[in-house]
Amino acid sequence: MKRAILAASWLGALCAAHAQPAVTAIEAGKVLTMDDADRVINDAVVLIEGGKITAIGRRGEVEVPAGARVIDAHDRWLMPGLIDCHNHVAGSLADLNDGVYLTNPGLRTVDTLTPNNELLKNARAGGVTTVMLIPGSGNNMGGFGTIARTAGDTVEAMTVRAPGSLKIAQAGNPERYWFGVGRTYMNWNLGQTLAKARAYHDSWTEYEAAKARGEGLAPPPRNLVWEDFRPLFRGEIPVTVHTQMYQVVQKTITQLHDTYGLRVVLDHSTFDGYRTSALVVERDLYTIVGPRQFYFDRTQRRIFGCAQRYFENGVRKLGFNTDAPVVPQEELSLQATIGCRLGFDPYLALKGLTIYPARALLIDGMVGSLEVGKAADFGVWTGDPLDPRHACLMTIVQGEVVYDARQDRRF
Amino acid sequence: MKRALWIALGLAFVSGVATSQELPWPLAAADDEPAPAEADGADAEGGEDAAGEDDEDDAPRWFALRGGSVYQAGAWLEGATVLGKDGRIVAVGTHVVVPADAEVLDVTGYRVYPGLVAFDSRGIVGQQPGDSTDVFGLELNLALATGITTVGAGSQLAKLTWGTLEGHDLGESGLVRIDISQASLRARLREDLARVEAYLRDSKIAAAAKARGEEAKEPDSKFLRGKFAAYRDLLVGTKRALVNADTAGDLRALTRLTLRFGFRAVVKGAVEGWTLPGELGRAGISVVATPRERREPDPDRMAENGWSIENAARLHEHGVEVAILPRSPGISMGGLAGGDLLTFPLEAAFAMRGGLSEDAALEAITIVPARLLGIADRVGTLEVGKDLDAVIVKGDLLHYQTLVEWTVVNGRVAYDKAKDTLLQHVRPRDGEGENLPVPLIWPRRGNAPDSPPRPR
Amino acid sequence: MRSSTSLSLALAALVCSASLADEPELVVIRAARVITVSGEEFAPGMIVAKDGKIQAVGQRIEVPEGAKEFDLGERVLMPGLVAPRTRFGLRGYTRRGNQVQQRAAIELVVRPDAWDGLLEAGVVAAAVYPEGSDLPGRAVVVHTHPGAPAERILLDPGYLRVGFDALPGNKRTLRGALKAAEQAIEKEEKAKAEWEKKTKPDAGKPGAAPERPSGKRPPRRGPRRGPPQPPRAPLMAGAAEGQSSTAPVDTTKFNPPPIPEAVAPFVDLLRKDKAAPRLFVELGRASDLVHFDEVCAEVEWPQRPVFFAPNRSTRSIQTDFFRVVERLGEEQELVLLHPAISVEESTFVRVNLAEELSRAGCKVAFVPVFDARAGYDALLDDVTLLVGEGLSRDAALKGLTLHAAEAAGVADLLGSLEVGKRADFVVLDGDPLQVGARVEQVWIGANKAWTREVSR
Repeated sequence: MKRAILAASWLGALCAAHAQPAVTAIEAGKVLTMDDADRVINDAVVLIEGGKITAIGRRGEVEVPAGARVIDAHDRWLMPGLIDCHNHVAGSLADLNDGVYLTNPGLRTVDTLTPNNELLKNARAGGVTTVMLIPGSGNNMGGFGTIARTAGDTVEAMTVRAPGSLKIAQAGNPERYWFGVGRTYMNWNLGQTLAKARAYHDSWTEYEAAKARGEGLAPPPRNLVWEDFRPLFRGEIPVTVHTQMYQVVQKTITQLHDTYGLRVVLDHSTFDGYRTSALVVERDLYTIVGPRQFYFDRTQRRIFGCAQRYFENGVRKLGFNTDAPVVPQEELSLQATIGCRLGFDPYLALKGLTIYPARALLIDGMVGSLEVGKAADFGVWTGDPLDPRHACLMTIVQGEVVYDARQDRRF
Repeated sequence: MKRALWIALGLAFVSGVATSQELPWPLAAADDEPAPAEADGADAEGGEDAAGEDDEDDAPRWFALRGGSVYQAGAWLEGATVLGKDGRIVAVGTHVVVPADAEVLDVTGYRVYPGLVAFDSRGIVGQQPGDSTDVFGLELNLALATGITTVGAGSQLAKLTWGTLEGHDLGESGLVRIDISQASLRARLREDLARVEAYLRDSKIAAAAKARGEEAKEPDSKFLRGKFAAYRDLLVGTKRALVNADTAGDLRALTRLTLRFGFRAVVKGAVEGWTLPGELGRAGISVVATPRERREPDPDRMAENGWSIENAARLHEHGVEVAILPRSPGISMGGLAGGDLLTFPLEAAFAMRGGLSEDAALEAITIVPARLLGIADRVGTLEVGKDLDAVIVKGDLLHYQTLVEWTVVNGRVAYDKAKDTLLQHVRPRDGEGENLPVPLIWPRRGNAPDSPPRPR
Repeated sequence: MRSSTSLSLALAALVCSASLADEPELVVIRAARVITVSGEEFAPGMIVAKDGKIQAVGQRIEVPEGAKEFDLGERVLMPGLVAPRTRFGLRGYTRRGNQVQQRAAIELVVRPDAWDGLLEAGVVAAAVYPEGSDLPGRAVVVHTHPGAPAERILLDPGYLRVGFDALPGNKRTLRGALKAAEQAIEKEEKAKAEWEKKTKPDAGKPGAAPERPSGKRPPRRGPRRGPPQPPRAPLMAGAAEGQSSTAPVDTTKFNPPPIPEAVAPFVDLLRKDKAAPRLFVELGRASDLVHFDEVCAEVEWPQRPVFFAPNRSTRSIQTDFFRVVERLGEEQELVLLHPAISVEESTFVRVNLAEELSRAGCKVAFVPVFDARAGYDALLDDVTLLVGEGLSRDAALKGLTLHAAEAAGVADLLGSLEVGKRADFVVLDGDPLQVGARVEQVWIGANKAWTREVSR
């Protein structure tokens, strides 16, 4: 009964949003912009028009146009929508991991995107607005992931970018593909696939250069399997690497980054992966920690927060992931909470939930911080988003209310 | 005697007031002085020693937490002292006189909460705690580091005493496990309870008749063994029932049973409890809830269903006693955090997210589970007469950055963050742990020289 | 190789038994260095032995006439090593529960070369223990001298083994054994009081001769104890009702009720009888010591138990006994250990337990990790490495000899080079605590029992 009402009211909200004036103004008690200036604006006003932020500043400094729809959140915190670089629930879980081969360069998760599934609704309740839907780690190369909004009624409306990244699982799961699959074979096989992909990319780059020079070279044969690798090698999309433990993370860095020149995002990076910190710092890579958040270091009988351990050793581009459904998507902020419980700095942790993952995924031009021109993706929180006692009351994606706890409280 | 001196020394260092000049040296010197040489000197000395030892054994063990903000039923007693004698609290207040030979922990600037009580646990104490707990176990250590001082473990109860079995085993919990997960089981239970009820009624009638001087036949009590004995305890109110139930249907069936037979029940789970909180409250049912326990709603059902983060709050509003327990009542070292006893207080914080008040959230991890386990007279609050079990933290226990500084069990420091490697390096306590941060080396214990000694 | 060794050993056995049969033999042995272990080291040093026992040891001793002289040249001489816990030479089976009446001696393998593996590693005596958990029986101490097994027995029965490793059953069995003994004592006291009342109405008045329990132990049955026995009594004391009717009743003397064999050792222990066995408590982890102390809180042992504090398993170097170092040191316990650097449980934090224990005041003795030839071959080197990590030379040497002999219960016979003890020693090619030191000869009873076939 309640659900029916809720669904109706939610639809109503959407319709209302369409019918309403072009400008929405949100009056907030505190706005965590997460921008480069690290501005935190108290008693702020944010203007939204056409799904984008058009103005942001202190009340009085920003003029609210007459007739604007005003959302009163004067005792709330505004926080950019949280971004998870490692999600499996935006698509159908049954198709988590198609393992045709040990490396599957042609597969794409965009084919599995499932708008408005229950887990996505929960995600919105956790203030999560953007996720990277990637294949599982049952084989070394699961295919291309999709950057998706947690809201949107169609695949097109959800999709931020497809392909979003290439999913590679360096080790620690693909071994299950078949017996006899160990690290040496996996790395060799992965290298073979990448070599083929690069050869394809190189042949086309050569052809394009020749064409630009006006030389009449015959085009190489087109192969859709390798087509998505071209933006990958051009550095236009990253590679999301399931990698953890010292040796494996090292291999990821040297093989994928050094040898193949890929834009590596170290995903998981847990256990004692932090011992690679020096290598990570040298190459300025993004490290997205989770779903494990601590490592029991048996050499010292200490519990180390993984994020803090990276930070202590110089790594600054740190984020958090849930590997949802391993940790429910709506608990993304809790991942950072645990990191902070074990020593990490809360403000940096908030950046690790927003702007750092946005940069890692190369979508920071659109989302990740509350700045003029960026998408109006944010959560309205009752307080510190890292504190489990506070909740996200309202989630807005591209200017539209996609979750309202007053109507359908989920988390 | 020597031990007394050491305690005195410890006291001096801890309190930080006494200087070396103020140490009770004369006392020590008098003890160490050799007995005067007499013909029967040896005997006299032996006698003295024996007496001295007896004194030591009989002397009460005083322990005081001094200067902290002490949590007392929703209020803070500032700058107060909690004094314990032989592990029990004998005084709480701002003007408590601490005996000179007490071990004192100065907690000025810290908050003192009652020790946390986990309604259930796995792997922290032994299956038969008194006989098989590893009192130096890692899990026990970690539970103490979370502030837990008492646990239920299956049907057993135990205090988390570190390195000692004194006061460890609390015996069995006063809970009778019943199963209502299937209609047939419920029917059987109903029959059994009715049988015990009839017996109780008949014996009451017989007793009344006897009191009137009439001849009366006592009902046959032979069947009152095993489950029937347990059911009798339920019906006379000396024990509570423990039930696993999550759905509104099961919960409603339980309320019908408790109302019909008049017994009290503790429900573990009650994920859909928020859909019928009033019914549960009226039926005298208590709940051990996990605020984040998911149960995705079935939209095809007409009634409200599924999980709600507001579950604990809604139940509490309707007078249901609510205890909080994480999803996994163990402690895992795998690195996935936030769902087990290692972050026990955070689970209470999630209940607050759902609307539970701070006091109710604190009670849900202290006195309420103590009450449900039948040990509220021993643990759960800092009151005179109860065990001196305390968690000492800087700031708010339910804040995510708060780590336990000390845990006290039975008037003994069972965990000290600055002295235990586990979490020492996380926001180290002022003035302690200078060697931090810790490098990636293999430390050595003992005083090993650099190279093996060579023979002459 | 092995067969030729055994052959030579057999020959040596023939030779020495022949010489033993002759007139008292005086032997003088000189070496570049003589390590007595209990006292000083002499360089050069010499030993005078008569009838296989040490008559004198020192730097320069007048050589008695007619003595056989041996000059070991540059070699070093020290007491023979003792294996305080081994299964060499035993074919037995595993027992559970209270089996204190069992003796490892009856399981000894009758084979001359049974202990060759030990002998060749410099071990002259070995305590062979009965296998099992709880109370599996009594050990037997043999010397490794090749000869007929019957002649080799130094002590039978030896220590009483207690398997005590975190199993609730261990604790129950030990508790039961103690309780049964208490009941037996109580019963006897009651019987005696009754008998006194019957026969001597004036008994108990001042001046009555004090009872000496050790001298008047009641008869009991056992393979090596007491005269022919009445029918078998049940194992539990409480069940042994009345006196045997077959034995003639002497009313002038008090006939105590028979004490069942399975109860007798603990009765002796509780009465602090000189004949009482020493307990040999095998712990699994530090917590077990706390459990043991709890069971035995009221008991005052005639001799402190020997504790075996092994690593967590033969495949693991984990230990948590560093947590009870203080407790063990306080009582100056005799603790058996694996001669290896361990790591703190569930960490890689290194700990030299032997060094920590000996610094705390314990006597330490060593048991190889592997109870096999390879384990004993490496024993000296393993201990040498511990010395490199900080263990004192004195503790290391005693741990191999004197303390090991004490643990086995034969310290009055061997373990150090002292006047009156057996002339059992080993001859090494250098200092025993230098890596690579090799045992070249083993002397038992002042006779060369084994010589390494050296190819220099």
